[in-house]
Amino acid sequence: MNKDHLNRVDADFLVVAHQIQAPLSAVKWTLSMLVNGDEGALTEGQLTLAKKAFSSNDRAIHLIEEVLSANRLQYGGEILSFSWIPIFDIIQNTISELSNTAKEKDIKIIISDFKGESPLVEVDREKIRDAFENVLENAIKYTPQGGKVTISVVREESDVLISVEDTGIGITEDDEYKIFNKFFRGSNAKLNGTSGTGLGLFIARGVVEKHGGKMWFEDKKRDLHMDESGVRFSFTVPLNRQGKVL
Amino acid sequence: MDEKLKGKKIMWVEDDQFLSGIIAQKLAAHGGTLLHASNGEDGLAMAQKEKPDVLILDILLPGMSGFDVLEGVKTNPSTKDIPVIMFSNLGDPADMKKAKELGATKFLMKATIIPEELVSEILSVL
Repeated sequence: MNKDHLNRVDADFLVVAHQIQAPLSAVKWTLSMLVNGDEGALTEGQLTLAKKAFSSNDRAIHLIEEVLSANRLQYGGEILSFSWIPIFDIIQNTISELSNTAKEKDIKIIISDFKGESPLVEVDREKIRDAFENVLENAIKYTPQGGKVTISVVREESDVLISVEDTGIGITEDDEYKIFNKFFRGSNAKLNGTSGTGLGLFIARGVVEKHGGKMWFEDKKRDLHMDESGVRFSFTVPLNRQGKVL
Repeated sequence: MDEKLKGKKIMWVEDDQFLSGIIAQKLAAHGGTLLHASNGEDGLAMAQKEKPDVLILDILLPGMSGFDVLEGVKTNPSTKDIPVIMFSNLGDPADMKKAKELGATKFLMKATIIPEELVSEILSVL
């Protein structure tokens, strides 16, 4: 395919992505009313099936949202809404939201370097929360049963440095240059049988960069020379966005 | 089901018949008085005549867009105080910004909420 053809396919795909949201919404609303008992009580079997269908439909909606969000970040069109927020609030709220997912795998979430008064950062609260959630969700997803995830938040001179370290499967050397690519899924992730769209980290890094920060990772064995396997993802958020937003 | 919306005149402009039917079913179950238009021109005329307690507006409509209807409602002294909830498949930040500038009270994405949440959002602006 030549470049013009690829551009057209991309544009066509985006139109489809927009339009497919209407029928997906209709399915979501219908299933929600069934599960909610609007049409009378369902049997246990019917309820289980309806909930599975709802969840599967939601995954499709989430994928479409990620595709559109990635496209806005890549080609412009993402508008950030800035306000001053204590960064600890974002971190703690996200940890609370994911604590059940961690518990299901008996994964301990440890908070270190998280003391004193929270630094205030000027950010788009929802977008930065999504970026952190993505990194933390990945850490939980790729860490085996009984592992641990350690989060640190450190105020530096002009940034806040946020790190999430897991005891997971790590990232192979072959994959390390592609990990932030659109639709990329690591070979370890595929072997591990975890699901994902391959867009989460692309979006997370895009959001952080849009704030004037940076996102990177280190493999614990290869880069940090540690005995245990795993990855440390880090990103910075400038304390003040002045002059840093693209 | 409780009648949370009893006595409230709720109007929505939506061209998707299937979704519109589900909205009607849900709002009727909560006792709302329902008004529906399926295109922008009829929606604006109906809003000006009926003066609903809340107006729910799709953006992509045949003819006048939801933004045009919103502008028409908000620039008319007799309808400017009606709370308007934009209700769209599009979650484009530029659209959200435009809706806010034109006076919309809320912006909801169809794909991210469920019918019960729409009822809660309506109650929150009444």
